[in-house]
Amino acid sequence: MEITSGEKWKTLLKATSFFSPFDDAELDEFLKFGEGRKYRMHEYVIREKDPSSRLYIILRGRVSIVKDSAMQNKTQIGTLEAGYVIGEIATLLKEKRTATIIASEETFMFTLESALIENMSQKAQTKFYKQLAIYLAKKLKAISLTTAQQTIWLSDWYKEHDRGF
Amino acid sequence: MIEDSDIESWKMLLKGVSFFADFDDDEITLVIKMGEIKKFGHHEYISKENSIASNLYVIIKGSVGIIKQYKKDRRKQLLNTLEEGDCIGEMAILLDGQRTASMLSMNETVVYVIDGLKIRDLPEKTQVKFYKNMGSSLAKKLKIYSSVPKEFM
Repeated sequence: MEITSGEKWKTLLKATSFFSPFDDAELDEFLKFGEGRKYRMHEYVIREKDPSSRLYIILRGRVSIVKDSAMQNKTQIGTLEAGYVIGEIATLLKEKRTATIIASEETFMFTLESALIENMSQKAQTKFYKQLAIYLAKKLKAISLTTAQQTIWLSDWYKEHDRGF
Repeated sequence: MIEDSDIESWKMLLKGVSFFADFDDDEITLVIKMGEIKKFGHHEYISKENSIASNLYVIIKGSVGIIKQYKKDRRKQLLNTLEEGDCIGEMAILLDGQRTASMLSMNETVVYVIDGLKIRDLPEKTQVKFYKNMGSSLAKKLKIYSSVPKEFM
């Protein structure tokens, strides 16, 4: 049996932890208001300083986070894999993109214009914002657990780069 | 427990705070009834690190210091100071329920407190606002770290 494109994306959503609390009908809502997108290797997903309120969730693949430095060079500052959310800070705080995102390999994303979230059912919205908050809390916890060590590393880094701390 | 006669004045106060800016009149009334409003003097502990607690705090007035004590040398460090409109305790609610830092009032402070478990009893449209605004609060806190190179994270 041939799998339709919609079903293919739904299977990918189901396999991603971010979407685990959502039932079938709610996943259909996501695919109605958002969409699955496939990126080729080296394709741009987001450009730094773009004013965008689009949210991305990596379903499969890997992307690089690249930042423009003062010297006009681009520096890779990290990579993100399946399960990671992109653009959630800019979306929640209504700000510009703070980094560029480029696919490091063939990557499957779910993407959603944040303004469309309010068209979804109240139940799906509640779960969505709760998942997003849990995701951010985990990220913040990971950072705060290493605060003591980080403070030392940071002050060294800033000294080395001759910047105020 | 909040007296009915106090509700109107608290409503005015809460409406002026960014966390509750998108809550309508009925939602604010409900939120006040389901929670508590607490006042703290200068340098009083609002909650302590490692205590099991499921409370969510929203600062209505004043400022709150977030303090971490290191096991090794018992040294205390002020991690952050939060101001009016900021919320605290959302990490403990969303994750495992343990306070990862202590909260100390830095001056005369008024906070709104709600048991995180009660958020589930609110109407869906109010829950959405709670989680969305908690997310925004976390995003703001995370932004502090975003200028730092990833290898130091």
